[in-house]
Amino acid sequence: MKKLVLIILIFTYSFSFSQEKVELQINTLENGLKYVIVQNKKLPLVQVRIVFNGGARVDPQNSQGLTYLTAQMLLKGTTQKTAQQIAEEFEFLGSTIDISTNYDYSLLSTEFLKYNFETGMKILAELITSPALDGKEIDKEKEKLISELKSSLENSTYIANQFFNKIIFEGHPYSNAIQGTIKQIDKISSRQVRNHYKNYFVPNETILILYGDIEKSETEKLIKSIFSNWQKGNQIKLENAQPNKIKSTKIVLVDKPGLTQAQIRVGNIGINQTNPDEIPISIANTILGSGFTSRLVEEIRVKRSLTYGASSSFQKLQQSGKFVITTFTKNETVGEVIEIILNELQKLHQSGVSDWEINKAKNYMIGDLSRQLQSPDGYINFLTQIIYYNKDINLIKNFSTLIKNTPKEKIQNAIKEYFPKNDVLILVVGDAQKIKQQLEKFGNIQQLNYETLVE
Amino acid sequence: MKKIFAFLILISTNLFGQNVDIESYYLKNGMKVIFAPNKEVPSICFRIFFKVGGKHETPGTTGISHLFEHMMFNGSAKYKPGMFDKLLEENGGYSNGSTWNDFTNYWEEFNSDKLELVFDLEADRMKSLKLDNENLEQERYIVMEERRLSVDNNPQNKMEEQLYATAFVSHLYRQPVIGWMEDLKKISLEDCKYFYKTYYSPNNSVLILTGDFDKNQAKKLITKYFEKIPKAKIPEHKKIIEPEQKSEKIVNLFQEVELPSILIGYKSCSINDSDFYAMDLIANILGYGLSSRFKKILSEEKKLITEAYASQDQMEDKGLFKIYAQARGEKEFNKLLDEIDKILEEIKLNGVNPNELEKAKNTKVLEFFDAFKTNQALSFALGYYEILTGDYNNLFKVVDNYSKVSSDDIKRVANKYFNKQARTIVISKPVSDEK
Repeated sequence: MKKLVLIILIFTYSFSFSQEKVELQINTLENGLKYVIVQNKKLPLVQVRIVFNGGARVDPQNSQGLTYLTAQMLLKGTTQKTAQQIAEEFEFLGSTIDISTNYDYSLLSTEFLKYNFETGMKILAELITSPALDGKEIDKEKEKLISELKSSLENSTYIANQFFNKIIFEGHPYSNAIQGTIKQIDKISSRQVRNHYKNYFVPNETILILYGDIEKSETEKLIKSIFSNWQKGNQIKLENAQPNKIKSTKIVLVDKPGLTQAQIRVGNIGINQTNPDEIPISIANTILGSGFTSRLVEEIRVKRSLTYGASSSFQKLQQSGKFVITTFTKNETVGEVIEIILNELQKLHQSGVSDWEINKAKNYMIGDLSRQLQSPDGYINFLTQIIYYNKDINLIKNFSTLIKNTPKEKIQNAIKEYFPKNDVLILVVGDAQKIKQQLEKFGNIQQLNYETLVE
Repeated sequence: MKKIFAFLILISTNLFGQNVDIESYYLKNGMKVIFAPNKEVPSICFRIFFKVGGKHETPGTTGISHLFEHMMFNGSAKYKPGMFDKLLEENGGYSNGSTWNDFTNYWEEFNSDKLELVFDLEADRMKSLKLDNENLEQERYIVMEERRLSVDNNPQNKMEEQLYATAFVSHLYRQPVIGWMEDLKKISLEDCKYFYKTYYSPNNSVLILTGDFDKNQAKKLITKYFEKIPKAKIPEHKKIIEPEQKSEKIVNLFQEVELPSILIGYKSCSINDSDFYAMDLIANILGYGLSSRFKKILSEEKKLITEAYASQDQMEDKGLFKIYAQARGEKEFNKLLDEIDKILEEIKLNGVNPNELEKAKNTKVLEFFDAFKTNQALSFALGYYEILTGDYNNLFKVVDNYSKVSSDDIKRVANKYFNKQARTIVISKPVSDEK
């Protein structure tokens, strides 16, 4: 019982803003901008996350990469200042800005020393509310992006992840290439970027999350003064389409000659962010493929020394998600590793999980989460997920109890319902000449050239 | 803006001078112990550093420090193979290890009430590791996969490996920490036994504890579990002085890449050299952020690169100052080295402007706080400074050391180290370009 008490203490500390002490409030400006302020004075720092709803799923089919490109253009100057002027002004504070795009949203992340918070936020507001979106700068960014796409083909891990995504979500906007393809990026016009900004980078589809050494009332005043003039836009309309699951074993071999080690992905459609069975699914997944003592690590790495790493995960998005087993091995043992993975999936369905495994997984998950929440970055990233996906805020406070109280039956049911058995996409990136034969026993092979990923 | 910076230093020094209660002492067997208690979160990070890494390995056994790090998780007298991680994970903790050129370190994070268990696990593997062929063979093949992943199929890391192997002729920084594949195949059980007996002794280690623990209780337990481990005679590590490099070296690497790239390494200084801070700030000015010189000139103005970085090695002995840039194509690549040289020449001639210097210093203030974000980060930072500089207190001096760097210092170190005859260049091109 001592352990449980300690774990609860972690949350009382880490989530001192939660219902027990300070109510977590999501406030909204008149223009629809949502903001959340959470104070923590442990270090003289402030973490900032700005979430722009939309993401790569709203890209037109023939203009994939448009959201990514538009988000990157926020860093390329404003109507008042050139890209260089504003970069110098911002980075003088010691901070840098990162803008990323996933399938659901674009995310601006930065961190300030508390003394630079106000100055930094004013620059951020200028970047977001009045970007220049200058034609020449857009062309320059497109050129750079095209080179980056070529360069990405040097990374077999990236190639495997992108192809897996593209195939598993086929027919759904989640199959879009976040950074687009060379031909599509080349055709995107400056006008398209400007329109995309106008339609999607609007206050009523944006959430601002601040965490650190700040005063709530002063910060609210600041937010109002710098974001109130941002013009409200139309609400983003999204079709709630569901991707189709893979119904039987599908094998795709992506040929990249010269590799001495192949990247392997095995999986299917998974769950979305608000699935009510998220916790039992996570417990089962921890047993299968999370941490250093999971079944996959035990079977592929520890017992047979066939890989350096093996894991499984449910990557959850708003409308859907994917379940994927990730590993890699030398060319000679690709077939053997896939066989082990398929056996483990079968075993999971046939024999379920033991009480000891469940207990270990639960404790590991609780410990892992508490470590994540200890760092300011880990904390705000977790908070951002909760807020954006409109998840129950009580989840934060009750996470450890919810994990502890999950009965075995729910975990066994989750395995049956959500984990694939034979119905999987097996995707391998490697030197086809050296590994193709080993894949033939699993079924018909569809072979692709790695370069088609970005063409 | 300069005033603001001075103010920040004052704040940060005071903050951590007062709030971080750190103490250290030695056990009778020579093990150094550092405590940094912090009750905010009821968990602890245990970390142990051993003063052994890539640079201590004899040729023919490269990679043994790292291979051995893997073997440390595979059972000891009291705990059977696999128990180490299982016990930790089932109690909500986790463990890991990493090996560098100058040291090897292991860490565990766990709930506060498991302190004794962790001491028992760590002390047991330190004094009675299960060293047999089964353990060695299991990890040998795993490490070979790790090498395939991180070097053989990773063009940029392959360039790094070639850079060090070529730049250093005498110093063992030329050896890859992960080891050459042929050496990995040959390391014997006898090599491992000698390595363990020689380097994994208390007088060659530093134990660091951060987080929620009671100092008196921790001291008693450390005495109980670690003080009885006998000290060993550590062979004298002869400091190798790398001979002066008198001509430029160039390596052409044809590999599975889409775009050509270049990696330049200038012979530079150690983390203990007073020039280190100026060189590290130059790296920042050249390659960090959207306003860096590389971004501004090589990417925005000249449109030559997809990416570029600069970094100053943080090593106990003299390391390299590295510049990496990937060109957007063959045409761009042909201009790249000249343009990089022009940027360095400009700094040698005129130094950097005051705003650039202040920006770089402000970045370092923000970075300084990274060490205080988690128990794990603090335990690493304390051990890192203890091992590399001989005193963990140097961690608290870094902001001050950066703040003292003047524009003249920048110009002086640029002229001292950016000499073409003392550089090594690795060029990476697609296999199809090989004639």
